[in-house]
Amino acid sequence: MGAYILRRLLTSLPLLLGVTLLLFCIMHLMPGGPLAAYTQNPRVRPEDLEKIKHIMGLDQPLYMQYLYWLRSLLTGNLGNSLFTGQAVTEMIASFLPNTLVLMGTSFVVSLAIGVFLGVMSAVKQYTPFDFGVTTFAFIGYSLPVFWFGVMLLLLFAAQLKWLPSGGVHDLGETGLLDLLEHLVLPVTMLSIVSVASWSRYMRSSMLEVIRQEYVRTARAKGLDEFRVIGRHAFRNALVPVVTIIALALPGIFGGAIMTETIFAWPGIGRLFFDSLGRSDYPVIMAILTISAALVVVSNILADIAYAALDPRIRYD
Amino acid sequence: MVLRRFLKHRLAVTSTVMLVLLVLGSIVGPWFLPAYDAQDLSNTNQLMPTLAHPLGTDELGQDVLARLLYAGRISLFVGLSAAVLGVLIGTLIGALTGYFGKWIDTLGMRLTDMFLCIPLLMLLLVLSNFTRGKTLVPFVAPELQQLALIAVIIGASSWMGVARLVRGEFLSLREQEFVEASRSVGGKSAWIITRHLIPNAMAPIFVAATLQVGEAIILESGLSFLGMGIQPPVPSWGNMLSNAQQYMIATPWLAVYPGIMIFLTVVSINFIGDGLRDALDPKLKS
Amino acid sequence: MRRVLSSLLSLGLLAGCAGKGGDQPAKTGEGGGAMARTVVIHNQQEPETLNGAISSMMATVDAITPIMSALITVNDKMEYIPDLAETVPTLENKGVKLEGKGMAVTYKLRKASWHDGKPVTADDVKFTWQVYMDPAVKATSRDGYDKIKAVDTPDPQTVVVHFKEIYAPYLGLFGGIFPRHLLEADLKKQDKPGDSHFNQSAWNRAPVGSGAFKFKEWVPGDHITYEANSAYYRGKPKVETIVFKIIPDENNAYTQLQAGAIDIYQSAALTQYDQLKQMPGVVIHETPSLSYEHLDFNLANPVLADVKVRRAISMAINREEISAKIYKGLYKPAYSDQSPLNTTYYEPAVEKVSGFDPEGAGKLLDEAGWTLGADGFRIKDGKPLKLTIASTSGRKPRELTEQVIKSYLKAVGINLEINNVPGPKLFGRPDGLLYSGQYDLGLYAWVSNIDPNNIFLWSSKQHPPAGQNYTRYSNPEVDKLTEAGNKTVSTAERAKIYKRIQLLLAQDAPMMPLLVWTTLNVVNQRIEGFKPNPTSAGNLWNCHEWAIKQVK
Repeated sequence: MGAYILRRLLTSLPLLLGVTLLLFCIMHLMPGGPLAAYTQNPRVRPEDLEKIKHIMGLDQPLYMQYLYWLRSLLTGNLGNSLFTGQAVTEMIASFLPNTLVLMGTSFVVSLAIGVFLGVMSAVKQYTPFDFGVTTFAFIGYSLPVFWFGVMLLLLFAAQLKWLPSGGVHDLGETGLLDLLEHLVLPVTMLSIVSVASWSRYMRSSMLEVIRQEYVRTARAKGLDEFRVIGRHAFRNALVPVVTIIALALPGIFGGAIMTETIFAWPGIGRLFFDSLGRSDYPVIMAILTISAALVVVSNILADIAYAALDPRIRYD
Repeated sequence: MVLRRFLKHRLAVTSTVMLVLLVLGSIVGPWFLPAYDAQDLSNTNQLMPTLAHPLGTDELGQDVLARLLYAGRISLFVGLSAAVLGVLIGTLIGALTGYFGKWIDTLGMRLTDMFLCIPLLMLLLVLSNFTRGKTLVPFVAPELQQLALIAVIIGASSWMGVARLVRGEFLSLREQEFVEASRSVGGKSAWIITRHLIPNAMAPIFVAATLQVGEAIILESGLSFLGMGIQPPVPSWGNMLSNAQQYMIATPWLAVYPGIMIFLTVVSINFIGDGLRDALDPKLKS
Repeated sequence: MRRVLSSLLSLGLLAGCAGKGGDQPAKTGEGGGAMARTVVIHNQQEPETLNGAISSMMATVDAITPIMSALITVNDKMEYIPDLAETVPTLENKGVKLEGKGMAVTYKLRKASWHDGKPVTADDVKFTWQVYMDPAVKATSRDGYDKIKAVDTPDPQTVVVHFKEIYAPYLGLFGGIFPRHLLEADLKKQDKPGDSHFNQSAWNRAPVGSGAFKFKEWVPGDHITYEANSAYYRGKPKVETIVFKIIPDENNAYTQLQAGAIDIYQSAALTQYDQLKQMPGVVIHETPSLSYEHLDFNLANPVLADVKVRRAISMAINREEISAKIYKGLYKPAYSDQSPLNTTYYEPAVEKVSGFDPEGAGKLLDEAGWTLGADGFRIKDGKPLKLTIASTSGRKPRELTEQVIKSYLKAVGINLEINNVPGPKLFGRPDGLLYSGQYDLGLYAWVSNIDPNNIFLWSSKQHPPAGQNYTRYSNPEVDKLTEAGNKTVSTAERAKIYKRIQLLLAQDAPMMPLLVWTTLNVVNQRIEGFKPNPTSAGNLWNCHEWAIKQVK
């Protein structure tokens, strides 16, 4: 297994390099570009535009721009934003903690609730509980997310005034309780979809496993229901759920643009969206590269988890 | 045999009826209702429901019910075909990588990783820049080009989850006794994959397909935001939703109607999936 | 509903969140404390920097207004008023003198100091000019500064700016004075050849200015805090703290206003208008904006090269109806490229040139040789009268406007197709639809200015690729007038020139002004002295005069 992980990590490097090149190309193919804001302004003269282009480093040929970027990546400094002039690492460092708190909380909450609901509704298939969970899951899934978020906002923040409507803290506050109050609504909004979808995956794969021979055998051997479900079925039912979780894991870094926008949460999602809007190339590249690395790592983790859950799985 | 088992599944049958009704309503409905686009500007207030307009009218005085049904043509088409496409691609890649392993696994999964690394938003922005007004999908009538293109784009950018799911299942399944047995009696790979492995990996595939229909319907509206999807005044559930977003404080219920339509679609597809799986399940031969 | 839930609350079922209060509308400032002397102002965007020379974002302008001082600024009635300068220099008060081909403008400075205690001197004004003219500075525009030959500083309180030529919009320059003692070293240092460290200076994120408020803190993505400057030359402001809060979503801004978490909701969403009117405890300021929606005609298209077709389209469109149906009557009909607020330059006679007249439009089209076909659309030489309208995708009111225009034009026999693209694809250079001329009708907004200069829109020398005359309009008289306008200092003389241009434009109709935007600023009633300012001075132009009523 160790050799396998090492090999995976080593082969990831060229992959990531290729991905950054691809992302770089896609980024430059996007309509607009960093100069768009200037070209729309009639007061910017062509000669001024040339100067701005030079300062932003956009007068270099594309392959040189990529090589410069690569050099800055290797030295651990991800360059400076074209618009704020700040170091990109500094920008990410100031937005990342907020995103990790929000996404991490929502991840844990959805995982706990989603897996629990999925297992329970599989065990109690076709009971009112199962129908309740199923209905909830589909409502949760077809619910327009922004709509749900704004409704939460209007009800709990505007009408009832139980919870704050946005931001990480009230002005002048820094306490944990204040943070928790601010987390309730955005976490609810973020979790509803993942609870809905994860509980569906959990339920269906649980059902699949329950029907299989060895579970029936275990039951027939007279093992009590709790041990059958907990020991045998649950473990094996986790394979597709692990896949889904691994697919969601990189999102913890990227944040959720819509939630962060509706709840004025200063996170990476908004930083990315703002940067995309003005084509702030160094910031976009930095965020995408880190996300790409997370995609690769979480898929490796998923593969390791498969083998741990089902010892028969082997990689060659 | 399979059909009889399917018909026994009450929820699945109800859901099939529901889906057929949705499709029929979308095709036939607009013939009997007022035109979906603004013809007369004399009465453009957002109205509450009346007899003539059962769901009221929108800000241009357009009948909401007519728009909703017309929108169904687009959204159902895009949602269903994009999901089918995405699931097909995903299953194919997942099956090949999971079954054969070795370099095929490496190649397929690195390709999947690569697609997962590109944010959809960026990809769509670039694609929208290149595909405007071009004939890109073969064998499709010009007036359907745009729609088919949207379905292809959404399908081609949403297969990665299914691929990883199927591969995960296959990794576990291919080591099980019945596969070993089949292999030892000389079963061909194609036979083993289609007859043994895929039927056993159906559960997560069906869930993914169901959820993807809803996702594709909503994604379509993101495309029209980028000037690439369905253009106004043609309605789709997705763009009706995103329009409603701009009236959240004033008329929040505008989002409910398309939301319900998406809900009904997703739920009925789910139960049809349930029914199909039970009907096809090799383990449930009673 | 609210009562039921409140009683649930009192039962302690949801005690954890009870801190925020039940039935009472919360107001910042209740019960004294620091919040009682704090004004929280909302902005949808986060400024990219607090250095006004290298950013043209409106959020940047807003965010630096409390900190920085200008020589001259503009008040809410669109009049120039002195800020750091003691008076507004004009020909009449001898502040402006003609010298040869050029002119000299003299400013007397007030006694003022930087937030670090150093005095503001004439040399800082000179430094500001040097900043803009430094080729290594990422200046958004050097327009005007490049007309300056020299800046003299005979004494620390006097600045004489010598212009190479007559430059009529001279009062728009020197909008924010930079401190030489803090920035000169950064300006001279180059991070790479041709890139001054001024562009990345630490000052840009924690500026030391000379305005009514001092910069205190910037929490990225969340808020910027300012505190009152007790040494301000107009006296210490009454408000102790201003918080500039970044709220990207308008539903959230609405909620925070209702909850009392923000005091000023800037540029509120029009779709919330009816609900905002019913919100207790707030005042809505409806202010005409300098932006206006308009319809560009591409004169390079042979069909639209005919003035009769352009006039006919203008007459077929009912501005009042669009205003009433799509903009709740808030956006008012527009008839000119100059703002009606700009009373010095606005020509009211344009309103009579082409009003709504669908019959007249039909006649004009007949005259132009476009005859009605059997399908209700017009034909000429076997060609149908078919045009496309382009706008930015994803903007609901514009999409609705297009649909309405489509039906107006259908009524007079013109077949209009809608073709929307993302912003960069419409405005971009070189491949944007407007710049490259791949459009028939373009629907978007322009921003007019307190200065009437519009040479870049209408001069035939400004056709792309040289400039932004996207309509490809050319009229020798307009060419001459737009040039003369920039070379005339006397306001009365300039007014004549620009009024004439407006009449010519109304007759030639290269562009149809549609609607003047209205800005909604919604303010908690405890704030006094808020006077919305439509110009680039922004709503914080008089924040030193703001005060807070104490709520009992």
